[in-house]
Amino acid sequence: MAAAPALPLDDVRVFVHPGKLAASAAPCRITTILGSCIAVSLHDPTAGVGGINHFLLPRAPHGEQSARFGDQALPQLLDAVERLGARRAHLVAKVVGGACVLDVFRDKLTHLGNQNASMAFEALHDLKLPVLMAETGGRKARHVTFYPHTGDLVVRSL
Amino acid sequence: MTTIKAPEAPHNGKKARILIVDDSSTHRLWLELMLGSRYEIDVAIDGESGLRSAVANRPDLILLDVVMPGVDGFAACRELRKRPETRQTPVIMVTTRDEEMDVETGYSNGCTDYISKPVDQLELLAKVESWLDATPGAA
Repeated sequence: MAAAPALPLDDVRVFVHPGKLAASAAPCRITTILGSCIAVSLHDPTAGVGGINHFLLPRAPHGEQSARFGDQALPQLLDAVERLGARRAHLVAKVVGGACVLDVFRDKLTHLGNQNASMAFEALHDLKLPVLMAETGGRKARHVTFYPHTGDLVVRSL
Repeated sequence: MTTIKAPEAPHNGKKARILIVDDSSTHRLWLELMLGSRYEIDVAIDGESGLRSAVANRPDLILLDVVMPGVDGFAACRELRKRPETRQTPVIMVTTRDEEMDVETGYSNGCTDYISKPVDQLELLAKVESWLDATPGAA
């Protein structure tokens, strides 16, 4: 019996659910969908390693340890890419999400999407990680595809 | 359609009102158990009765299952966005895990946010609280 053809690594696709993250040193596609949530990607172009998270809320209300919260999701992502060989000094970040899909909330600067985006930028600043690209706010949800080996991040409005 | 009166009121004495639309009695019960002590809960067993309840009772937030007989969650969400009474009501779609297309379709049809099954209580409460805090006029 002939062996099944190997799947090209470029065709390996991982969907990141809210509160989760994914990192890889191999060519693959990581997708996620964001409304008010934020995704931060980290990429080390020298090592060819990258990862992306998807957090729902800026801070854990009772100190829970979960990547659902921005204050936990970024350190966890940093740890994941460093374990794969990325070096912090080489890492660059991209930030996407934080939309507000209802008109009635958009005028409020404290809407959830803004809070999440602020959390991401503050955390990246504290970790001294440069932000290469940011697409946050707006009124539409976003579909995101991240290529961890190249750091490319493709955003499509829904 | 059933209304459950919650015993506690965390928001300055006035409870926010949440409509749960789900054809599964198990899921409805589970969501009621997670939310019922904090909010006034309306429930509907399908998309059609959910639309009627939303227009009649003007909930502060709607939890909407995707897969339901008749009017499914996507169609119900589209209809909610057409009606002036519910156009600005936060709608959290409750999707089945691993169905990326459901999430994308949910946003395309006007949902505000989504949460995956099995629903995690901490995540549910955090999302509900965040959207209610942001809602003008909500408790």
